[in-house]
Amino acid sequence: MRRIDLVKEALLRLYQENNKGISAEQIAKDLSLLRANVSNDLNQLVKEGKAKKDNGRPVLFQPILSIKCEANEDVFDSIIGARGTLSTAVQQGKAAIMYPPHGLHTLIFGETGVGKTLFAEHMYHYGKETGKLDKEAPFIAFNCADYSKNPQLLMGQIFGIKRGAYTGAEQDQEGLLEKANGGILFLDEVHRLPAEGQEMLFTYIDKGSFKRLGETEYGRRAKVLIIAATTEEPKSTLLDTFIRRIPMMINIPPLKDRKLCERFKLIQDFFRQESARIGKEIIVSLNALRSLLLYECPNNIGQLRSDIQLSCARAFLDYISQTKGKVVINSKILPDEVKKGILKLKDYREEVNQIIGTGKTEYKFCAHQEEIHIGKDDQYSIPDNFYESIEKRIEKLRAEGINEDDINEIIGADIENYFIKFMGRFKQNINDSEVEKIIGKELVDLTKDILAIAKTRLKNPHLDSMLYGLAMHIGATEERIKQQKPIVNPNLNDIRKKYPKEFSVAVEITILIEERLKIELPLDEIGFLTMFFANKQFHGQEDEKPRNVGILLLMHGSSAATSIAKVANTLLGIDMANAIDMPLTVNPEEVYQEAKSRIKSLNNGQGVLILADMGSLINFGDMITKETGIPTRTVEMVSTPMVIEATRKAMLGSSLDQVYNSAIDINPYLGKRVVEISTEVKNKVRNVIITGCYTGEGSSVKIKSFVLKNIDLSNSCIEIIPLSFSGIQDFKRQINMISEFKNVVAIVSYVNPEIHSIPFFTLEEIFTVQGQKKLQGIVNNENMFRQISDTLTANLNFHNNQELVYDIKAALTGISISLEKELSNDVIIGIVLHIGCLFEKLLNNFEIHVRTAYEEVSPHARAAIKEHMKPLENKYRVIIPDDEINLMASIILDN
Amino acid sequence: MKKITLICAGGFSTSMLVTKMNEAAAKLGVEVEIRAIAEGKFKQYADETDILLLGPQVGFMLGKFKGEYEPKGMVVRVIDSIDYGMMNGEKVLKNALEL
Repeated sequence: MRRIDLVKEALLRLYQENNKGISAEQIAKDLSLLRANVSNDLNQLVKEGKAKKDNGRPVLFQPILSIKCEANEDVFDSIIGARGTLSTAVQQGKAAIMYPPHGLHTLIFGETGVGKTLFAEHMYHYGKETGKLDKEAPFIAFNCADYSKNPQLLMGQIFGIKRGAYTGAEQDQEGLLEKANGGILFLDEVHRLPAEGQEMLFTYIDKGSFKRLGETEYGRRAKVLIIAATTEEPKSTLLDTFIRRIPMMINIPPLKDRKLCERFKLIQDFFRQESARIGKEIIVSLNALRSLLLYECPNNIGQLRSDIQLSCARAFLDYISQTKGKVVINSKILPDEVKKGILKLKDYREEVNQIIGTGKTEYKFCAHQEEIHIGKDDQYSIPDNFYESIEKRIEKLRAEGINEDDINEIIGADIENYFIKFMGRFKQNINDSEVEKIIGKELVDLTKDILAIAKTRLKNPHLDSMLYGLAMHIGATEERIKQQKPIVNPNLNDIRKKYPKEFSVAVEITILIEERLKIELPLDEIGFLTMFFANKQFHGQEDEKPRNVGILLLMHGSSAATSIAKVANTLLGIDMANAIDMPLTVNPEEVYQEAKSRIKSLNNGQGVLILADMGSLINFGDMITKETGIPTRTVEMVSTPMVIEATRKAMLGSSLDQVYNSAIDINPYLGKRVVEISTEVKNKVRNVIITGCYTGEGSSVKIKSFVLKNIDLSNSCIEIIPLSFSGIQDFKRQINMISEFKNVVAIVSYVNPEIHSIPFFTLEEIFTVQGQKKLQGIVNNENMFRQISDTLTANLNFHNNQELVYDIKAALTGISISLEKELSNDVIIGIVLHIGCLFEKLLNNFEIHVRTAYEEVSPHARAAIKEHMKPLENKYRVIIPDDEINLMASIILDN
Repeated sequence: MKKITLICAGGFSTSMLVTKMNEAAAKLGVEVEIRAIAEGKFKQYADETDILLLGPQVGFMLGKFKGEYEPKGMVVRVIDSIDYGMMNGEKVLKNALEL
């Protein structure tokens, strides 16, 4: 091999191991070559387009992967460390599959959580990829520990049962070995198989034949590759026989024997997965990463993953408890054992620094892209908590010269949001060790004592439900006071006057908190505590009988749905989110039957909300509703926050529609409504004008009052929503979110979000008479459409027509843009009425007469109109005849 | 008795307005004959029409109809889009008769 090829190979290898650019020095050292020669070769590679370099010192090189190189990859390459510490295992795994004629039966060793199952699955996929296994070949996984208490049943599962083999065996039953014919049977924790079962397995391995339980002859045959897995030491006596009889032995090393760079990749992967699940980017501090890299993790990758999930759940809670912010993971948030990882830093400092660098303070993980390093003084160094954000905003608003009343309006809204989002109404008995693990036992205990006092003093037995929210709040307060940061409550005086009783209880409780946490609470904090007790949500209205909407998750993959449901249930301290996993090896029909019976049992007369990820699962709801009459609604592209929110809403006894909308609202970019059959009357369309400014400026409120003063909105039902945003993209996102539920008629802001379908006004414009006239014109126009909508609603004989005018108008706007043809209001009104009446006729099965032919309409125009009318056809369940499309086209084009 | 004909693209939306106008006529005690037809079929009703009202979406045909029928003494107008949108039968009727 030429030197340059060696250098190229080393660059690729080192780059993959380190996941960052490589210097000539590193390669020289690795290959024992002269640095100058390596440097020459590297520059030659750059010239040839096979590598690229950056401009830093030292110059770092990255390989440019050619397509050919990627084509050589196989399924095992997606395993982290496939070319590193797992390379031997991977070679063995491939060999086991490829060995003629039908592969080698394999035993995989490894501690709990090292990824034995994943490895076996990869062997299976490799088998399919290479054609050794049929495309339809089954992969059946079975954990022998599941039935270890009942050896008969265990063996029956694997080998099948003959009718009458034992009492209760009422019919012949096929075993997994038969079901796996032509594919792979994965037996996890195989050492739990009783001696008799082992013997039967070995007979199969040796001779290829087996018998069902109760049969006498080994007369059955199957062509199955057995992959067994065990956590036992290879030397253990238990495995003695296995080792003698099973030809291929694969050892998966524990996490502590894996390279740190591999562990880092695992960590990155897990954070990205969590980011995808919560639909937010996750920011991880350098110290938290160090701890995660180094802490002792006896249960290996499985534990690493669940520790990361727990941290993300905690960070996510912090995030939803604030009105704005990011999902941030710092050392504080990590589980205690993980925190200890940082103590080992001194032994590994150099290696760790090489992997994660020292120049940044944070890493940022997004679902589908590489992490972005964040510099020290980045805009993302976000306020740590609620208090800080209030404080910062007040400061900023004051600096802007905004008067105290406006500040109070702005901050008041924030505080209100905080309490609404933070507290919710949680069911009792959330004293679950999992939740304590998140909040801390000391705080939970203290909060319980506080609630005991408050309950007696306020004679309100319903306060238990706020245990969790209040505990989180006190935790945040403690943190802040220990950091000697101020606590400001601008509404303190109002609160005291408004809720004197609650206020005096808060004072009493303050003393308790001060004693127990050894901190001193400022007066302003008493105001916040008062708010907790004064919150109306916690008063009275005990429902007689819970008639809640059922929550059911349906997702692809062997554990995705269950694990999300678990997170939601754990965090909410209830057991309401149900889940059905659909491993890719399972037939959808089976899942459908399971879903149907589960929905039947979940339905309390309130229906069931289905949260599904994709594919056929999305249609289950409609099918089940048709079959059983149980109302369902389906949210697709589900994410963890959606499940949490939907479960919380369901817990509060909200209706199916409310629960559904809440799930959608939580993240309109991820969740999308599935067109449903039962279209019930939705909220009346509300028109809004949006005013916007950068976060913390508070000028959107000022713009709002300016617009209110200068534009006549009487009789218009138009509401003004002030928004604050961190950038154009954020602004756009918020507007899109609002557009889902409201009709945005105009936007007034410094920054143009460039949404072409919504008229935009700059501040300068709105201060001029012309600008105001223009906006007034839009408002008047909207008024007219609202009245038209009322007319149509009153005159058209079909349900759910409130939104029709707006839907048609939106379609017309789309058509007008596509055809580059401006439509006057007259024409729009005419067409809106025309289509409205047309729909009524179509829905009531009126015959539409074929009219005299219009001149040829351009196919382009027809296609554009069809495309824009399609959503309406779906929504209102009509099919617009071609004649009508032609007619519309000629009206639009002739005008 | 005045005969009023309303035309629009398909004749649906105008027929709704015709109902409203008939109600208004009864209320006001005026005798009129009002019908709505699709634009393409107007020719056969031309002799039965004193006042021709066009729906706003076919307003672009005003010139064509004026040119053809005004010389014969027919009054041709486009319905005000706001009255049309609100299905204000009374106002449309009054406006038509005052012409």
